[in-house]
Amino acid sequence: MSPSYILLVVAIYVAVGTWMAYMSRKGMGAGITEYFLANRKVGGFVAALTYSATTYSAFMMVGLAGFTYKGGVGALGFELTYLSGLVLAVFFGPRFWLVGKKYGYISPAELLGDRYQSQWVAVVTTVVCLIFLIPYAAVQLMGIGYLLGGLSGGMIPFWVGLILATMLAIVWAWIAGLRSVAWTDSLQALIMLVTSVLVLLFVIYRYFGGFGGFFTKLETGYPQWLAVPGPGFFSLKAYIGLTLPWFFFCISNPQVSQRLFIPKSLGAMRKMLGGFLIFGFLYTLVSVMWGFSTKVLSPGLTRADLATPTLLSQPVIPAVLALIVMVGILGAAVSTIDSILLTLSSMFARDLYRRFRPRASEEMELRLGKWVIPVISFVAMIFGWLKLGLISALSVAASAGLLMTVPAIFGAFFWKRGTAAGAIWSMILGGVVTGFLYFSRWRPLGHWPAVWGGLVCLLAYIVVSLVTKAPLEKAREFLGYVEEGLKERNAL
Amino acid sequence: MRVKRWCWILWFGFLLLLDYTLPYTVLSGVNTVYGAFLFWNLFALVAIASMCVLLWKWRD
Repeated sequence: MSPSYILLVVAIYVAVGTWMAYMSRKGMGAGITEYFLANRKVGGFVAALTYSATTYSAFMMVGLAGFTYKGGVGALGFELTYLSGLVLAVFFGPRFWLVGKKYGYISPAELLGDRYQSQWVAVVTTVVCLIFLIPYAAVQLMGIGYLLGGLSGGMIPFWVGLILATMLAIVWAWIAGLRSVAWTDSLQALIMLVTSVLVLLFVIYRYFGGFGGFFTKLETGYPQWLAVPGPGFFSLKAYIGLTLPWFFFCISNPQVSQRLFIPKSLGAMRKMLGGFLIFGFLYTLVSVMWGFSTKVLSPGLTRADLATPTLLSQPVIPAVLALIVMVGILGAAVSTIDSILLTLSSMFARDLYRRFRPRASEEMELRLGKWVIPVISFVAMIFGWLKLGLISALSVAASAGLLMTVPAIFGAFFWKRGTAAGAIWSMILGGVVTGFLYFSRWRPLGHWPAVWGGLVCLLAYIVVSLVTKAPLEKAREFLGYVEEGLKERNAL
Repeated sequence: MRVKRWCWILWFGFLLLLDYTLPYTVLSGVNTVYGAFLFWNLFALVAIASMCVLLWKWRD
C-alpha cells in the first residue's frame, strides 16, 4: 500500500481526534477530580464507548485472530470467558462508585490504601501497576510501528509509527485528561467496531457466498479447529492459565477499574456496562471469525500473527476499507495507551507522591500528574524502541501480574479481617512467583504462572491477614456504608 | 439481600463450571459449529442476559 495514502488517512484521523479532544474541554472545571475522572459526571453512552476502547487493545484484531488461526475455537471460549468476567464489574461497580463518591478516591490504589489504612498498600499497588503496565503500553506502541511499516512495505520506518503513537497518546491524554481520552475513545471504538464488521462481511459474502458457505468450508476443511483441544494449542491447562487472569481483568487492570468511578449515576453505569457487553460480544465474534476466515483462505502461514495482515491484503478488500481498518487497529492501540497513561499518572501523583509529600496541595498533585504523562510515555517509547526481550516478557505477564491485586480488592469489600500487611505481601509474593515462572518458563505440573502466582497470592493474603491486626473500625465504617448504599439502590 | 447475592454467585459459578467442562468433555469430539462454537456463544449470551437482569434492577 502506498505510504502517501497511509499517511494521508493517518493525518485525517489525527486531525479529527485532536479536534474532538479540544472540543471536550468545553465546560471543563478545575481540580484533580475533574482532570482524571471528568468530575465523575460521564454519561452512559460515552462511558460505554470509552470502557470498550480502553479494554480492547490491538490484541483483538491481531492477537485474537492469530490465536484462532493457530488454536481454533478455544480462542472464542477464552475471550468470551473474559467477557463473562464482567459480572465482577456488575458486583464491584456500584461498590467502587459509592465509596469513590463518598471518600473522593481518584485511583483504585487510593481506595485500597484508605480501606486498609496504609499508604504503603497504595504505594505497592502503584508499583505493581507501573511494572506491568508500562511494558504493556510499550508493546502496543511497537505494534503501531510494525503495523504502519508492514502495510507500507517497509517504506514507513518503525520509529515513525512509534513516535506518532506516543505523541498522539500524550496529546489526547494531556489536553483535557479523562474528558479528551473519553471523547477520542468514543470515536475510536466506533471505528474499531464498524470497520471490523465491514471487513468480515466483505470476506464472508465475496469468498464464501454467505455464512452458510463459510461454515461448511470450515467444517469440511478444518474440523479440528471447531473443537478443543483441537489442533493442540488450547489444552485444558493452557485454557485455565490464559483465562484465569483475563476473567479478573475488569477489576485487576486499574485503567479499566478506574472507569467505575466516572459515571454520573448508577443509571449511567448500567448503560456503560450494558453497552460494553453488546460491544464486547460483537467484537469478539468478529475477531474470531477473522481468524477462521484466514485459516480457510490462507492455511499455510508460518506465523499466526500474520493472520490479520494476510486477511487485509485479500483482493476482495477495497484499499479504502483496508486503510480505515488500519485506523481501527491504530485507534484500538492508542485508546488503550492513553488510558493507561492517564491512570498511571493519576496513581503516581495521588498514591506515590502523596506518600512522600503528605502536605502537598491538590494543585501540586495535578501539576505533577500532568507532567508525569509525557515522562511515562517517553519511558514506554524508549522500551519500545529498544525492543528488549524483557519488555515483551513483562508485557505477556501483565495480566497475570495484575491478577495479584485481586485478593486485596476482594478482601477490601468482603472481609473485615483483611489487613494492610496481608494485601502488601500478597501482591509482592504473588508478583515474584508469577514473574519468576514467566522468566524461567517453568510450569510445575503443567500449570501456567497465573495459577501458581494466584494461589500463592491468595494464601499470603489470608495467612498474613490472620496473624496481623486489621483496621476493624475503618472496615466496619467502610463496609457499613457500602451495604447501606447497595440496599438503597437495589444492587447486589 | 445476602441470600439473593449467594444465589447469583452460585448461578454464575455454575455457568463457569460449564464453560470449563462441557467443551473439554462431551463436546470435544463434535467437530462442527454445533459443538463448542455454538456452546460458547450460548454461554456468553446467557451470562450477558443474567448480568442485564442484575443491571436493570439497580435504582438511582
